[in-house]
Amino acid sequence: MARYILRRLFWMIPIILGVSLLVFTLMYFCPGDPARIILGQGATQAEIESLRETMGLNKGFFPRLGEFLVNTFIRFDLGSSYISKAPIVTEIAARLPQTLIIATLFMLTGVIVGVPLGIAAAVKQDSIVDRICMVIAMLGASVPNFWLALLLVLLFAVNLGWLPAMGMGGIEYYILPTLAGAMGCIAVQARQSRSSMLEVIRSDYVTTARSKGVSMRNIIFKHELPNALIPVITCAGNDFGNSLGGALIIEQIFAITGMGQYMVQAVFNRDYPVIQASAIFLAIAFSLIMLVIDLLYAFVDPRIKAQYEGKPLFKRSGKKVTA
Amino acid sequence: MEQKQAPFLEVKDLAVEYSSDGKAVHAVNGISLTLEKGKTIGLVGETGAGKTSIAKSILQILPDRSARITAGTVKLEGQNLLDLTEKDMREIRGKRISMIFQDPMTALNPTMRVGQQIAEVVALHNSCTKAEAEERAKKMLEMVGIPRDRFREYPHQFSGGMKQRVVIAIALACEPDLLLADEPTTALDVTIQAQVLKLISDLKEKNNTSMILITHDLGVVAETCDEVAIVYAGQIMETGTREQIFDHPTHPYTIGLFGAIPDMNEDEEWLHPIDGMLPDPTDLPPGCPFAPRCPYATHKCESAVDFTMTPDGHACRCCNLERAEG
Amino acid sequence: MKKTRIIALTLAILMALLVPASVLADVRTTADGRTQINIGWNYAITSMSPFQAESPAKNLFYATSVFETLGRFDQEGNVVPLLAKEWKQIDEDGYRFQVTLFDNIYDTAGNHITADDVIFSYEQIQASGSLNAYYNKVTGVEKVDDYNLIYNLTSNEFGDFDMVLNYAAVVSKKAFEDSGDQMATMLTGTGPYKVTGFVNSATVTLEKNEDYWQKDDSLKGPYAAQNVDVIEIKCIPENSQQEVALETGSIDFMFDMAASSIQQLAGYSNITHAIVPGTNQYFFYLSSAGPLANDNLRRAVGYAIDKDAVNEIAYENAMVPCDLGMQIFSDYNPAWAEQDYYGYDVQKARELIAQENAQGTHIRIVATGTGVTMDEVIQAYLIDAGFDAELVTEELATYLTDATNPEAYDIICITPFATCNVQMWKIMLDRRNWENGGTVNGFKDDHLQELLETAASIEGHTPENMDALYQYIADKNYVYSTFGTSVTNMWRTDSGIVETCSAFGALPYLGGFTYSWN
Repeated sequence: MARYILRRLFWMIPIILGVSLLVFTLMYFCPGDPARIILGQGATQAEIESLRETMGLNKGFFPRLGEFLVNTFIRFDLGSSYISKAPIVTEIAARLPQTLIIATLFMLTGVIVGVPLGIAAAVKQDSIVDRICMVIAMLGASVPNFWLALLLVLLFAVNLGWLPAMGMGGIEYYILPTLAGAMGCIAVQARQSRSSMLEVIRSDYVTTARSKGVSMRNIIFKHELPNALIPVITCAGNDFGNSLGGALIIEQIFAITGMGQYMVQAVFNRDYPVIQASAIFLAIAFSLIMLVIDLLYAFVDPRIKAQYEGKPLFKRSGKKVTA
Repeated sequence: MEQKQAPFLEVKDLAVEYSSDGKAVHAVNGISLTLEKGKTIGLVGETGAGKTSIAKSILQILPDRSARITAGTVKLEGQNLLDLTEKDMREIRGKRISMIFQDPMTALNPTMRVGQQIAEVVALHNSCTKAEAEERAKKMLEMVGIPRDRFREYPHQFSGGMKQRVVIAIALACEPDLLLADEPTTALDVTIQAQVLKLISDLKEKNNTSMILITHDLGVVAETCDEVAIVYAGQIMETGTREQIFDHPTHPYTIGLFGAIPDMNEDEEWLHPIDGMLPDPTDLPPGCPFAPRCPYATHKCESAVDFTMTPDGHACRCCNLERAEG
Repeated sequence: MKKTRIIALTLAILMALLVPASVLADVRTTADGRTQINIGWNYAITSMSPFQAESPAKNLFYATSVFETLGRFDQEGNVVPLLAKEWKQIDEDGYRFQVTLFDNIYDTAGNHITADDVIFSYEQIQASGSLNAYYNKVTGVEKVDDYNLIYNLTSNEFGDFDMVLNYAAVVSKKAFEDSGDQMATMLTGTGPYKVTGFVNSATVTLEKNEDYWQKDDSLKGPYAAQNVDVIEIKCIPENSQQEVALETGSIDFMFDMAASSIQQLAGYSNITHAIVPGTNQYFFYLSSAGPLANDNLRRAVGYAIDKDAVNEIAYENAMVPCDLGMQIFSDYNPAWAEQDYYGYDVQKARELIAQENAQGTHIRIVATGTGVTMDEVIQAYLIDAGFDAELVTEELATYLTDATNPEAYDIICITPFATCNVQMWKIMLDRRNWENGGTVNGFKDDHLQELLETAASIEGHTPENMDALYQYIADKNYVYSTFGTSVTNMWRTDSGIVETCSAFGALPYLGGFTYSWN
């Protein structure tokens, strides 16, 4: 298992390099000039040229790529933002945790609320419980999260005054953002866990368990859930990836200092160092989370654990009694 | 003469219905059979005849949503199991009655260790410590011929035959009085088949366990069963001792079954299947379900047919016994 | 068990009390009785560096005078002394200016500000490249003595040195080096307010600088007033959240809201607004590379557009109507307001088009972001006049690149910034600024250049020359002006704010507001 983890960590290196190269190339060929944006509208040609020289933007593709790669991966110097001159590492160190927290909150809420909903719906298939759960799931999937966010702010912050409308701080500042952003995750998890639970309920080993006289509760928790969980974990992983993106909108609305705003503003401003550094950090964070998810699989399903460890799926007993 | 003791197992007029797409599928239509302690009865019939449904009804583990027992009684030593609450039934399952399933590949929980799956049934029905249950489970593994140090392995690490052995270990761990074996060797190859059958036999002998063996293989029946019941379209067509059925098959269906077995000594070109197909279970013909395929059918076969006794004393559900000898 | 229950209950009650309390606590006075207002800023402030690129972030610290500059524009567009006591032209042609500093300037860390610090700041600006727009006319700064410097300029034209004075941020070299991160997280300046709290992209706290160096009240303009003790600034980039914050009272004053917010918040009797004119002007560049190379067609475009209707539809009348010049600039001639600068006359537009036999000429309008609505309205007017007008939207960076390439558009809207009219026109039309040897939109007109240079020179900056220039540009209509920008501020009347005041260019002088407790 340790070897598997090491192998995965090792594979992160080419992935990160690939991401950096891709982002750099995209930004290089993308039209738009950071110097112009810094100087604003109405800047003269001479001013623009002079600033471009100072910023080193007129060098060719390979010199700039080389500089970027050496600075980032050998000197670990990510530079400063073109616009604010603030060093990027401190910015990201402050913002990345926020975005990760929000994305994780979305994903966890999706699991904690969605999975029980789906299981209840599956166990009581076609009953009123099932219908209600699926309506909730459909609403969650259809409602755009920014609309929901603004509605929630209107209700809870403006009219009722129970929760703050925006900003950061204690737990109460995370409630509305999580409610707004996690709806999609809840919906997906409810549907997924319902369908995988339904599949599991019909499987033969559940009949075996019944024939042993196992109680309904134990059938659900010991026999059905562990097997139904695998697609749920996959969904959670996907949800996390989506949440990283969805967090951007939520961050904008609730004035939360995360990566989303930082990156999008940087793209509009063609703030290349920020874009590149952000992409790298997000890629690293994402790879690590995916590794955790894959390890969770191994924890839940022994067949996958065996796969990771490279053991043969089953071994023939060497004793006289064969098969 | 003493009052005859109630038979160990008595099934009377059992009827099971599945609902599919709004239509009712009549899987079991009035099955009655009795079984003495320590004896084995073989339920023989084609696939889809309703044999598995009978077994599952005894244990009441039919799929809740689609199946219903619509009529009949199942009496175990005089007590009607169909009257019991779910809680009481759970006490019986695994302890007094247990089942071996047809497909070993999917019968075990892939995420639970094999030993744990055996220990689970032990711990359920005996008040013992975890360690004691484990020890019993390991003993059962050895009894079925699996080394006890494979206790902590997962099902995917076993071959099909070994998985079936595990299933047998689970079924016999609490020394049940009645064992329902649903085509236990169908999914296994012939050499393994013999071993598994022998294993079941040996274990059965030890505890004087009764068994209902469901199979479509007449060879297996010949080896292991004391009594035989031929099942067709959810009804019993013929029933008797092994000798009676094998030496004097009377029902046209039974004759057809035996006739379909190729004779190794003859140089035959064609096999002799029975003409026609099983009737549609949602739309059974009134009267004898075999009539559409029977070469001896008369107009009397269109109304419900009762059992009649054959010359050698076994029951046959046919109203046209005169047409041929056995 | 009972104990944990009591604790849990107490915590629950506390939380229930604290949550609304924390919302209410955002208002008015600080705990120790000092006066406070809460401001919303519409941009996430990530750095306090006085040398960062021009941005709404930097504008905050400029507006609150956390860092100070050599001089500051007053409301008439003339520069008055701030850090510099006086300045004078020391050569004949106007390329060299000597600046004398006050000798008693101290920053909030106690560092004394001298000419060395001014030169250091100048070098920082040059190195960061972000203030080139104002500083590229400065070739060097020489030190004469501790309080005197000489600026060498490449340009001696009207308004150029004023820009240098107004944007020359000065901080102490020692303080800058002490900060360790180029003053990104702690700005130590000389001004009447100092930063006492900063949460990146979230909040900034400013407090009155009790030891403000300028003791002579007669020399303190509104930019140096200290009418409130504590200013708490929240970054709220999202428009609807800005409205919510005003409604709930978590901020008292919001700077630069969308014009639509006036309508949205009209129902609140305790929220009022003001529209402050800014120093950017909306110009449409008409391209020399397409059908608008024709003089009459350009004039047709001018007559075809109803500026007031555009203002109403796209900006809810928040923009400041103007002709070719802006009234707030010092070199505006009131006579121009009496003349007809392309008043809406669709008949005339059609006639001009007919004259050139150009009905259905294809015109390409390029728009971006918030300007799209305005351009849609313009498109409708042009179609009405007989052009075949097409609207294309681009994102900002591509848009800015296209604005300097006449091949990429027929009509594009740019809002340059300047501090006087001649400067504004020069930015666009002076061929010394553009590689192609003509105006930004590619017109090569020697007469125009002559008039420009004459009016731009310091001696030539007379009302007559300006008028001649004005008439020529208006007649040729290379660039067409619609209105001047403005800023919509809204605030709560129950917050203590009686009257707001702004810098030249609409930034709010928060310390200079009039409050109920003054």
